[in-house]
Amino acid sequence: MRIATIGMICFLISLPRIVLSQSFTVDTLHAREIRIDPSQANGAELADLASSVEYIPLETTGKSYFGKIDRFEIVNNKFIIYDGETDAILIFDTKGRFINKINSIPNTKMSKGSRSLTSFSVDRVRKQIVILAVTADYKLKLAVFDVTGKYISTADVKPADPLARFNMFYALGNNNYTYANTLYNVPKNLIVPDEDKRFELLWGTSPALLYYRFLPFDFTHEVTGSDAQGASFYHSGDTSAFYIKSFRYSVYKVSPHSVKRDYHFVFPYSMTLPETFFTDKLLDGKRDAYLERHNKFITTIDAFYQAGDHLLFSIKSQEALSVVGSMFLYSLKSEMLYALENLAPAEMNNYLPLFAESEGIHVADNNAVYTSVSSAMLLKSKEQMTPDRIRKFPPELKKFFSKATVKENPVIIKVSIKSDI
Amino acid sequence: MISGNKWFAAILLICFAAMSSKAQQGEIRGMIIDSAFKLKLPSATVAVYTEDLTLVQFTLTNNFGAFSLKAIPLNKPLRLYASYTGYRIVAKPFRLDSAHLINDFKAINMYRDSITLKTVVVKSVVPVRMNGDTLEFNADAFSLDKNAVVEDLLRKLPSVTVWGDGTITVNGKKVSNVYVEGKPFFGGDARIALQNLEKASVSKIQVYNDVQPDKHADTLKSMNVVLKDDKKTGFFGKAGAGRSLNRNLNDVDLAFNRYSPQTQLGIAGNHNSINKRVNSLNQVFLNSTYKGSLTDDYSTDFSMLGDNKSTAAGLMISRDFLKKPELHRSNQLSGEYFFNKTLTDIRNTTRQTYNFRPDSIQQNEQSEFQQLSPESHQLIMSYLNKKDKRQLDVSLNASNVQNRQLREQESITSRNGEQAFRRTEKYQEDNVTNTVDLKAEYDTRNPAATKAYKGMKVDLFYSYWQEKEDGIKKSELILIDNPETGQLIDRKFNGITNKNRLGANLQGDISRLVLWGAFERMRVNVTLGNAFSYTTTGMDAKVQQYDTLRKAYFVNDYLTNSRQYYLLEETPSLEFNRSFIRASANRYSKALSLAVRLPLAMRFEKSRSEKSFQHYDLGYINLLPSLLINYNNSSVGKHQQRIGFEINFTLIYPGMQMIAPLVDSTYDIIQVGNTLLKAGQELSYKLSYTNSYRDFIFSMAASVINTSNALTTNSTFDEYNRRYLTYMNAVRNNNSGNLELKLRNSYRLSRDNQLQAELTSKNIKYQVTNYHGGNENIVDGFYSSNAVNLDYTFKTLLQLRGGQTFSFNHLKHSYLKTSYKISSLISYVNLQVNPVQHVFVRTDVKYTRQYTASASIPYSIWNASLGCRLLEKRNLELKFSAMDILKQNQSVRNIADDLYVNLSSTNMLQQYFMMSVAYYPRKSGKGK
Repeated sequence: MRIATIGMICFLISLPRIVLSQSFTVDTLHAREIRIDPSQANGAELADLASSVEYIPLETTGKSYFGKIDRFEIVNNKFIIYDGETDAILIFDTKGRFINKINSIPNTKMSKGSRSLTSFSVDRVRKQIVILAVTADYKLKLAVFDVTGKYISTADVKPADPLARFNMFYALGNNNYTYANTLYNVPKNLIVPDEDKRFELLWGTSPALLYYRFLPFDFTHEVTGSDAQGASFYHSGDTSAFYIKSFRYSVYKVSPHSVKRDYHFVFPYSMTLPETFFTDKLLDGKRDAYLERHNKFITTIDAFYQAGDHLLFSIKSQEALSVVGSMFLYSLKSEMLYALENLAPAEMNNYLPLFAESEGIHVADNNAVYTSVSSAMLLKSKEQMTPDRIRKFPPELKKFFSKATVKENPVIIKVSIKSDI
Repeated sequence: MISGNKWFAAILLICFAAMSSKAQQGEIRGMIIDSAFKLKLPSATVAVYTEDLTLVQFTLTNNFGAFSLKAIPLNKPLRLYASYTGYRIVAKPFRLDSAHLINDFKAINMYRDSITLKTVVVKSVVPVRMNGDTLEFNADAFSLDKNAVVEDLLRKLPSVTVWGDGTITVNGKKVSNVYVEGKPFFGGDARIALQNLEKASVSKIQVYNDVQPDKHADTLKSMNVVLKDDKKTGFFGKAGAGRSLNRNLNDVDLAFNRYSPQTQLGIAGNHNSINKRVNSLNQVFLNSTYKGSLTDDYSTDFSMLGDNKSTAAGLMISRDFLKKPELHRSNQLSGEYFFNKTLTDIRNTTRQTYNFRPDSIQQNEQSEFQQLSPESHQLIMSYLNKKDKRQLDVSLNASNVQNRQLREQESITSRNGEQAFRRTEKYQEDNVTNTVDLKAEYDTRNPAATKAYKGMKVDLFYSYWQEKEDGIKKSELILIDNPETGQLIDRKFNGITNKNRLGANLQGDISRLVLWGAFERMRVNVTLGNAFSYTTTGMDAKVQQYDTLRKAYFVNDYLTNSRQYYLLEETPSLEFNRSFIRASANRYSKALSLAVRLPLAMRFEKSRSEKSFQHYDLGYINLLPSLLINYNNSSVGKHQQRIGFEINFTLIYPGMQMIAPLVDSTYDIIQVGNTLLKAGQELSYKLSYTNSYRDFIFSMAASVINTSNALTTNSTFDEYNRRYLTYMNAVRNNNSGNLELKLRNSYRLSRDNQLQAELTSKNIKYQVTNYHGGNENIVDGFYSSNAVNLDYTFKTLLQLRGGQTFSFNHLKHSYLKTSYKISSLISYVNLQVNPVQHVFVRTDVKYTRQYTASASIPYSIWNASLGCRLLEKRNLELKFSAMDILKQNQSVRNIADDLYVNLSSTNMLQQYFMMSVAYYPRKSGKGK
């Protein structure tokens, strides 16, 4: 999804830049080991894991209509949603009321048809939405909006700025940014002479030409060329983020001036990518096909969040684990692993769809995990219900079902996790 | 028809009555869980058996392990078996009675078991299971008649429907491919596998979703029949013979198929004199299945002219070099040989009424005897090697066709009511055609490739075509009022034509390779293609004519000729394609794609001949653009709509026979060439629309074609009323249109009652301009054919089909001031009933009525047959058939063309009674 933007950004980079070397903490040795077998995950009753479940329909009007939740952030009691289908950032309050929509940047002509607003991040300290936008004439701009969607400013991004040089960025609050460098389609002969390309994470402010490099690539375990996969940042705190790279089972926490490997996952041998996956030259350019054939290998940890003493994450492999699914909750205290998709609808959630029918974990924040379900799915489940269950719906759900159609926006599910599992 | 309707209604009534008189039944429910891990087991199998292990009911648990089974018999000791891959089977005995109609098992605990289950236990108590994304039915869990075939098993499976027309649906979704052991079975027609393979040799039936080449299309399903380990080899076939009781007619069928994990071998043959056309091996295989299949294309064709005897035989073999089937891999060699010989005798008397000019009417009374004996040999070999994103396809197709044609004709022609001349003609020709087609296709295209070079498709082809003619023609024309001044033609001719064609086509995506990838950034796919071919044709003809004065044959210098023709075609092309997709997850998906094709067609012709007027060089260079628009709109769980629109610009090039033909002036029709001919131009607009919603499909296709400079003829007549056709380009532009509609719905009235209904309408309005004596004649035509078809089945006991087709043809000539109207009504009813096991009755009636300007006789063809299956394996069939019981098959035909009306009478096959016997050997596995 980000490939187009990545391509455009790479297209623009070329100028020299200034790099500071400064004292910096990089800790990759003291990670907590999470040793789990996803196929042996536990099931549970909803009441064992959750204290409450809330269904929040997102208001559907001509202006707020959107397709799919591609990114989801919560800041200042607001849902910030990016929908790639309409290329818009939509803002709802936590009751689902529509507040605003950003689908353009004032005085800027955007390149049409592409996901031009997909590169955005939320500065949780300044309570701002920061968008790295590609204009119609392939210039980069950094636009800033407040969290109600009100436009604040636009600035040009100089080609030497790390924002322009690296594939992904994430706001660490207070104008601090971290950047991830993936070697997707980067020719090998460029990697060695370009020192920046030898590090996978950077940190800096913007606009600035000053930035810091850290976490050098481990080229013995790095897949490059067309096999290279993306990296992702996930919300961790106001001034930090979790950083995860595909084909690697480690979770790093990045904050200004430091990166620490927080967790390292160990999976059963039959699910773990073998050493030869990285080193076998014969696999170059064919790793997709290899993974299709060896479909049990876990390729990535996705949607990783921490809510108190609980880790919430998805595990991706080509073959789905039929009973347990791919979404999990891990208790750091009890070291128990729970399969979220196996949670059966219960009285607590009025027997409505849960994780099994959901669009995956969107975000975890303040001991609550957020996911969503299509209105078509909700309507279908209601059709199959007995009248006495329908009668027990809370007023807001009754109101939703009284007028909802399949064309309604998705419905957010907020599951509050019990503190003591 | 009326009695048919009443009967149909009575059958429906009986079915509904049977359905409503159900005895009181109970219900069980519960949840299957893994208590150690507190997991609910989704898609776990729950089956209810009687104590003697007869399957009563079964289901799969829902996403959260819950199940409920209704219609459980009361007062019977029963046993519930719960199973799930990786868990030990759990058995729970229970009994329901009128006091306890519902039994809630609550949670049924399952225990993990790493030891592989004994297959015997699994087979007997797990009727269905989910294996990943594949739904697997276990054949052994379903007890059926020991001679049952796979199709009988499918009819037992819940969610699977076998429709009257052979279509299979699973939960309403059509099964697009049926495989045996992951591979197509004897050519891929599902019926060959489903109606032959014994149910007892099947281990399981797998149903899974197809890989979608077009992600906007509705999901399709594939079905795979997995054979038991010891039943992977076997054979089946048919040996049948029939003899008519009242006429000298025969029908002999032979089919033998043998299969093993890597090899399939089939032999088939037929000899008949009952007008059965045998066009391919597959057709014989399809109609020789154990279950018995009788398709319309493999029964007596009462519309065939003359007496016909046909013999056909062939052999097919295919070898798969992969030991186990793999989804994206294939390495297969297959070959087929087919021989076909027919002998046709036609005796025909015709009255032909010509309207040459508004003031001239000519009538021909003609009697003719014709004998045709075509004999063909065809060899097809193909090799397919598919691996990841590469595919190599090599095929060889060779044929040899020999035909001897013998014609004796006698005619008397009258003009405006008076006899003018008499003609006798004898014609004999031996014709041999040999062809060889060799093709190799290598495809490495991969649109998803991230590299700039996205692969290419390369085709190479070579074809050879040879035709040899050898014959004699004797014709005598005597003018009635002056018998001395006739015309006598007696000649021998032989000719040979050799044609060689060599070519190559290339195609590949170059979006990122041109203009620094600008097109790719604009999301425009650019495809570069090139088509090249070079053809040489050599024609040698030798004609000798009998000289009545010298009483010997001499070479006819005009018709004896040697001609060479060279054709070079080179067409580079560019295609620009842009797609706009709007999809809202779980709601709708809309996709619009626009494509512009720009082929530059270059064509160079060179003709050389012993005749100087046949020397010419021609060249055409034209851009032939076309525009294609496709729109797809699908709403989740609802309808799916597709709209397609195309504009094409094409050229119709004049052939060498139009430019400089060598014409035999002794024929009735004499072609006159024209070196100034230009290529005809066609601009066509096509619109298509399809809307499908579950079992309902509506489709529409409409097109308008505007023709300019059309290649046409100017007709003139000489004093013998020979027709001269001079080729020319039409001055006027013509428009033709076409509209086709189709409406189809399938109703599953209950598990045992199925009805399919289809309405089709085909309408063509066409306009052609030709010239008569230099005067423009516009031919306006309208053809319309409308049909309704119904197909009803009740279990396997009854199948009733019926339908009606009304077609209409209207022709009008503006200059000739003539018009013709012909319409016809065809109604048919087919019924097959199996009143008791192993006995079948089939009957069909087809009623035809034609409406023309002159009189026509309506007629009905009524056929019936009665048969039974004997022996322990029910593989000996005795059948009595009575065909054309009413003896009404029409030998009188009425045909109209732009200039004439024909009323002819020909010898045809009529009423016959036949006794036939057929043996169906079949065996699977080794040993007993």
